[in-house]
Amino acid sequence: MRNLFKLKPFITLNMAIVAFMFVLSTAFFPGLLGAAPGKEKMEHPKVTLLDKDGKPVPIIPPGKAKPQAPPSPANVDFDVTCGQCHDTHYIKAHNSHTKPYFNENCTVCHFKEGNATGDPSEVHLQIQMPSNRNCAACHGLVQLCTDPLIIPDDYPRQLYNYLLTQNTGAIYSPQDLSQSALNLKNKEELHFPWDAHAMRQMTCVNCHSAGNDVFFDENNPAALTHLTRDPRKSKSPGEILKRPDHMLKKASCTSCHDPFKVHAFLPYKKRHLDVLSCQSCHVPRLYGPAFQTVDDTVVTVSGNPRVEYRGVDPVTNFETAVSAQYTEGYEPYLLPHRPAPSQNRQQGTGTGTGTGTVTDLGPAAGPVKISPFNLVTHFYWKSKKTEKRVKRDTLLQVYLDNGQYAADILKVFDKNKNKVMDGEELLLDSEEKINAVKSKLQVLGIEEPVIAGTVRPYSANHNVLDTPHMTRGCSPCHGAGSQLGREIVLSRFIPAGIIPELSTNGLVLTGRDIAVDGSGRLVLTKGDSASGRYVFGHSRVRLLDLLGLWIFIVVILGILVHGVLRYVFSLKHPLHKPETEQIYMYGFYERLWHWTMAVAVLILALTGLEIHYTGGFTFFGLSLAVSLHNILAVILVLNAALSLFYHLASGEIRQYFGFNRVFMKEVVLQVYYYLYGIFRGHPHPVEKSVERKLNPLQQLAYIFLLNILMPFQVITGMMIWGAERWEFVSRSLGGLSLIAPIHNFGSWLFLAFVALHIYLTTTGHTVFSSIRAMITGFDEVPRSEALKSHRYMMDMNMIDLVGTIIRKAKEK
Amino acid sequence: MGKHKYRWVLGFVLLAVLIGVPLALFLPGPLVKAMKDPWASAAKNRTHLDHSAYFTKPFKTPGDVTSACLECHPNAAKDVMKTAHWNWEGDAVKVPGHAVPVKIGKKNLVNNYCIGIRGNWSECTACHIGYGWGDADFDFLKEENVDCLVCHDWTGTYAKGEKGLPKKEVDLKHVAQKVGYPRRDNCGTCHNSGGGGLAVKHGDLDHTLVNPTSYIDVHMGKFKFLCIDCHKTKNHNIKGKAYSVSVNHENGIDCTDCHDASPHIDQRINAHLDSVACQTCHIPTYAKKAPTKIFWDWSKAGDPDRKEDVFTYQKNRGEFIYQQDVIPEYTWFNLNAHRYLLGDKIDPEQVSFINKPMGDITDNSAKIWPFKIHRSKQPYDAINLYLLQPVTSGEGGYWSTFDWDASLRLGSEVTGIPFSGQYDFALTYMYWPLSHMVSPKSEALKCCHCHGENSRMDWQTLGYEGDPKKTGSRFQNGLNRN
Repeated sequence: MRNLFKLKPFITLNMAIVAFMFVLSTAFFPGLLGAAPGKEKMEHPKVTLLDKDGKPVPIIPPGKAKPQAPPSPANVDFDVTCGQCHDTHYIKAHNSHTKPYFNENCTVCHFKEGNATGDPSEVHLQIQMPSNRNCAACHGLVQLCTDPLIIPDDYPRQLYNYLLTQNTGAIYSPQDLSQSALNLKNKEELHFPWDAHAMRQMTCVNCHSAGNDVFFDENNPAALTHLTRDPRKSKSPGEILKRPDHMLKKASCTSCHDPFKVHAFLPYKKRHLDVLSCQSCHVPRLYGPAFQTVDDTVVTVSGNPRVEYRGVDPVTNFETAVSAQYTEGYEPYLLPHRPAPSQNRQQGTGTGTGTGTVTDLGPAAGPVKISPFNLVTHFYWKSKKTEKRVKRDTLLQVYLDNGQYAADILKVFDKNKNKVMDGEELLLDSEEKINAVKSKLQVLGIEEPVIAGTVRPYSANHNVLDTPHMTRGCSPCHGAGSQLGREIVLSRFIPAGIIPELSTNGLVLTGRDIAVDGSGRLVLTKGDSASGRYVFGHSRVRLLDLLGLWIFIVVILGILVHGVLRYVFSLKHPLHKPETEQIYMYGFYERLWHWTMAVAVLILALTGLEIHYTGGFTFFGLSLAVSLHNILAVILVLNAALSLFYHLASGEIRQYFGFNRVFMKEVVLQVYYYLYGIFRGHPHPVEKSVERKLNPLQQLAYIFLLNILMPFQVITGMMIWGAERWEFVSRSLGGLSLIAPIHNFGSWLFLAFVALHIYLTTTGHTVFSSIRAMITGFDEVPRSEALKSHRYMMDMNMIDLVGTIIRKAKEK
Repeated sequence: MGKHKYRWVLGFVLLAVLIGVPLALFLPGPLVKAMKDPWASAAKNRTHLDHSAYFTKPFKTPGDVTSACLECHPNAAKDVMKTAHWNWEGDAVKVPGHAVPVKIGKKNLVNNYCIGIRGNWSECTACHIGYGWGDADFDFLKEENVDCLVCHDWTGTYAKGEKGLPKKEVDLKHVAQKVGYPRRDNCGTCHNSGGGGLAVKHGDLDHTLVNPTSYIDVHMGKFKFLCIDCHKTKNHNIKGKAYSVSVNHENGIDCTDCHDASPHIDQRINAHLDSVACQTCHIPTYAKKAPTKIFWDWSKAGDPDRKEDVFTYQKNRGEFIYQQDVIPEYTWFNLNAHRYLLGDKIDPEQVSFINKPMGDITDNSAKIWPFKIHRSKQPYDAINLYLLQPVTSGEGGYWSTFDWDASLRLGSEVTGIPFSGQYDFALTYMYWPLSHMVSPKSEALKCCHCHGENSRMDWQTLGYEGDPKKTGSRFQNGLNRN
């Protein structure tokens, strides 16, 4: 019997029935049926109340009510009463709200707050679809339009009455946060409602509805792919009235919203929607007091556990009303979640997710999606022998004596000897304290009392915010501030040093554990939260990153050293200054495609850098950086294609691929020039002319760049861009996780090339002559005679040539 | 060589085009569409000329001041004389239910406050922008009769008394030296005291608007608007129509004069704009700070033993009810109204409407508007069955004699409406559409105020089957035929 009354819902039922009987017996006023114009007419026909034997229940007429008479809930049997028209056995068998959490009958959900009117023989019941108030009786805080929102006093204690708010911090209210009576940070600026759907007058049952459509939807679409609905299964309105299904469907955003119609600004729309649940972005912050730690190993003076809320400043005086505690709210944690396989259609999940949503028949296990969660840590005493939790009543007897702390408890807990239990003292952080409580528990009959703990996740699905507050933007996932995989604080304090058990409940937390951090807080350790997906700005292959950066830095250093040396030596050895002539070296188109390529590459590099290091440095913002990157990529490819055509059609391609028979020697000479000759003021070994604009090293470099690196970057880039529409990209080659780091490494090589390229333009006739040539087209080239001295070296064979060089070096 | 040398400049331009054009074409545009900027129509600056040097000698009569003004502003008086502020009546209009167009205005209409001015000119014309309108023979064409100072005074010392003449204490020269564009106290000196007291009449227009907080009126409180910023004036033609004395919206003001027609980001709210006026959501209450009169029972007047109190009972006026922070009443309105004219028959058993708004749910041009409805019991002729206009403040009127019979007779003589000798009191309603006291947008009505449990809207009376959130809009239900 005790078990029955332990559960608050049953007491609520009790109260509902009492209210109902009270109203019946004392209120004899005309019905509210259609009395006020414009108000909703009540539609339910008159009902005779029956007892369990089917006999009409005598109604106590007003005036003869005995206020002292105990309520007798057994009198009216609603299964029989409602069963006059509705098949209550069927309904009970097809109901998501089941034992042991819910042992109610029709009244709790379907009565308008126990209101009833009528004459003694028949009763007009204000029966309706469940309103928000009906759901709120158990599920939590619900608020109407005008009265300033307040958190009830029994909030910390009643673990079954405010599930929605306690577990996630969500409050289903249409009111603006600024109009509530809570102590919110910057409250006067919070001009938006707690929940956008509540604001727009959606009721709980609008989303959490049962499948009573006249047209029956196939609820296992995978089984019969050729059908979405089977009209043979449709019920007539009469059949639905008689046997209404009460299995609440899983609330789904897409039953009303089509995300592909909006989100125009979002690149990779399908990928985002595949990976993220709607709530990840649309429930950015929860402002209600969500449980963070519930310490049921101790008891406050008013009989509550010691509770700390997320986003709420912890208090030292535990009698402070929750509404008065300074609240900033918190951002729920983005964690990967695989929804559990649905249970038998007869039962709800009863998994204690606390939000009351229930899956109906669905696929065995859904795909992993990132969703926002709160994690609640719960410490409690239990008997090691019987595995049963110690009840709060027992604990009250241990700690309290006549509304005050028991003297022996206070003696042990009161560390600073001020005869009062201060905030931080109410914690089992010493052997002495633990033993004191333990012994008292044992006296009360608990065998082998131990402290245990659990950490449970609760998904945040309510408090969807309205435009323009609704989303979290890109930064929670992309970039330096990425939340994915970050360490999460579970509890500020840990009684008895107990590490609680993690009840994952579908969360995919591979590689993550509960641990204690440096400052003694309980945390969920870091890990990969992106479930294997590549997240731009957040994911990276450190090795390739470092290698690329290292290559780039080496090149820069080399440039610096080379340049400084050139300068130093130019003071000692004046530059070789042959006679020069101005030649029209570079045609108009040649210069155009070169600079188009240059600008495109620079912008691509800059935006690519920003995408890779989102948040680390911000130039355009991720969204604009991606758009710019895509557009410039197309410009680059078109430019490259046109220029290839030009080179082929005009024959200029031979500049790159023209290898004369002394090519390798020229390479050697060129290397010798750059490493030695340039400092000595030697002339260029290979003369530049309109027929031969590229020195041999240039030829090699550009062949590599334009035919290997560039196509490589373009192809990997295209694959990244097309990862959304071309499935094979994600599936093959390791998907983005491989392609993106390679693309990144290629870009480091490109950057290194650009640095080197720009530097080498200074090795022309004068420091700026080459770059000026590429702008104006006119270059200064030495007259051919000056290079005669080198001609004879070209006629040597390789071995002699090398020998000559070495000899000459030794001479100098 | 010469020509080719600067070809690179062309190349540079071409490069910019090659990069810039694709960017311009393909970069995603702004997420929210560009809207009309309300500040584009707002007054940028106001000119003020210090008139101190122009008036050095004291003025003998107020008319002399006007003549002095006209020396530099020769057309001002003529312009003023074209307006309703001067004539206290408008151009001839077709009043619904009356065959012949008539010129109506404060000059010849009755309301359900102090009822009518005829016979009471001396006191009532304290709020006329002229000097000396004490009887029916006022010369409306004499330019010196125009009172420039009441609207243009910046000293705050200018006050008018009987017949619109300035009070003895006023230093006309000092006032004339300090004239400027009309500010809030200029308009407010008359409009805030309509009905013979503070905040009596309009509900949304009272003395708290002289220096309001943002909460009372966001345009005037937060953005420091003056009356003339919305009531734009050119050549003394002041925009704006009051439905106490007008039946249409010619030369009227709309919110869309400055604001975009679909200014909300939320599409759902914009979907309301076909049927709901801006004011309905943006003026959630009126008489926010000072209580306004909502009921006036003339029949209780004349009791010498009752204790007098400005908010509950006055011997010469009767019994009243005042209310503050009032929730408006809502009805369809297409910016045209009926008007009760003296002589129109009434049914004393029913409510009589002084100015019933026109429009209903089937009228496409009608929207749901917020109103102050002033209810009153005022005298009517029990035999002839029409409303009567008593002489109240005028000589021999009710406020001196407390004799209804006598004052109604006097009123009958001056208005030309026959009085049978038998009178009683009938219930009348007067509708005041609200446009002032616009709240900040954070205070605007939310969905729950109209579509929730304690709805402000009486759906059945408005013509809906039920709450349109459930039953659909009037367009969905085919209720609009025209």
